[in-house]
Amino acid sequence: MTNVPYDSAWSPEHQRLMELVEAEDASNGEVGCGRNWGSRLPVYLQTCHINVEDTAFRELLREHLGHRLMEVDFDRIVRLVRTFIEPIVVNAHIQGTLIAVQPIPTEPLIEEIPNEELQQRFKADLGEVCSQAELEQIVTFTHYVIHEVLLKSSLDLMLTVQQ
Amino acid sequence: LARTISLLQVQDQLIVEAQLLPLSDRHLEDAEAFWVPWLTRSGEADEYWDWVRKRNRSSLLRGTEFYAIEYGGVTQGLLALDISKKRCLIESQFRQRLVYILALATAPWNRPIIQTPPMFKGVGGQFTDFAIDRSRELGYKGRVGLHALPGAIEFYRKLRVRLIECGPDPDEPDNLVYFERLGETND
Repeated sequence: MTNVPYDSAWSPEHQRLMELVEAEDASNGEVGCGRNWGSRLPVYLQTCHINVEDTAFRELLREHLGHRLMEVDFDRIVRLVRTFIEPIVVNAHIQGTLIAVQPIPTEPLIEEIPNEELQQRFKADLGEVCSQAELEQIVTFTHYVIHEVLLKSSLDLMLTVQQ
Repeated sequence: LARTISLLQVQDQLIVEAQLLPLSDRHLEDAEAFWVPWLTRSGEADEYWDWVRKRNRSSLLRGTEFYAIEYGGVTQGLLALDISKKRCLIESQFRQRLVYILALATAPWNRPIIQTPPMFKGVGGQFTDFAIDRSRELGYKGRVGLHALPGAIEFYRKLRVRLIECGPDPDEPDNLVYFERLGETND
């Protein structure tokens, strides 16, 4: 625990620092946020710009699902898919122990967006760093996420109608 | 965007002036030279750094900003902010723009779990205060979002910046707890 004697001459900045230190003491110095990248953090910082391009991906989603989903649903799909991609990209740039990638359910799902179109989208943005197998993983995960979001949306609609 | 900030030098209980400034290759090289050996017990030879060195920084994604805190010529912390893609999740400000803290980390020697006593305190808090200021500068009225690592939840609860704890995020792979700060018009 920090014990710096209070000094009435402290500036507001120094007083604020003491508040920050107090908060830090409360968590035993743990202040991290975002994913726990450990020693891979510098790699993440250097590679986090490599991901599916937000606008183009959203456009593809709108084109195929615009009549069934809303922007807020697209926010969620984009966020989940981008998060899924992050460790794959980091792993493409390291050797040794790899970062765990989220498991993907194996049951076959309806292709709400044709595989080829998704492949094309991801290949355009990630083709230089991801293998074909990894691109397929991302496509499968995207189908899964879309399926989940559509299910939730239908459920919400049913509940609204019932009310 | 550089600014002078205060840190507490724990050993001498002294308040020192450090610099918070945009990230440069030197900060990442610092992390390579000083952070990684502390963080990896095995000392495995990661060759990724060759790639890191070669990266052209101008290719960094628009809308992502990177900062470092530096004291004594050494990198004491790293921060990445997403200033354009993330939206608020709290209902009262749903889908409004915010500054999202993608990553925040303090140097290993500033973490009591690795070194006791740690060298400096205040890095995480100064970065969070900076993210709020950056949000104001961008016209986002101080709206900030972040997912706290499990050990850091108490830190974000006690920061006194009115972060709202929204609970574990089911959409986040590790179910990390999401915090969001309300915009100033809602204060």
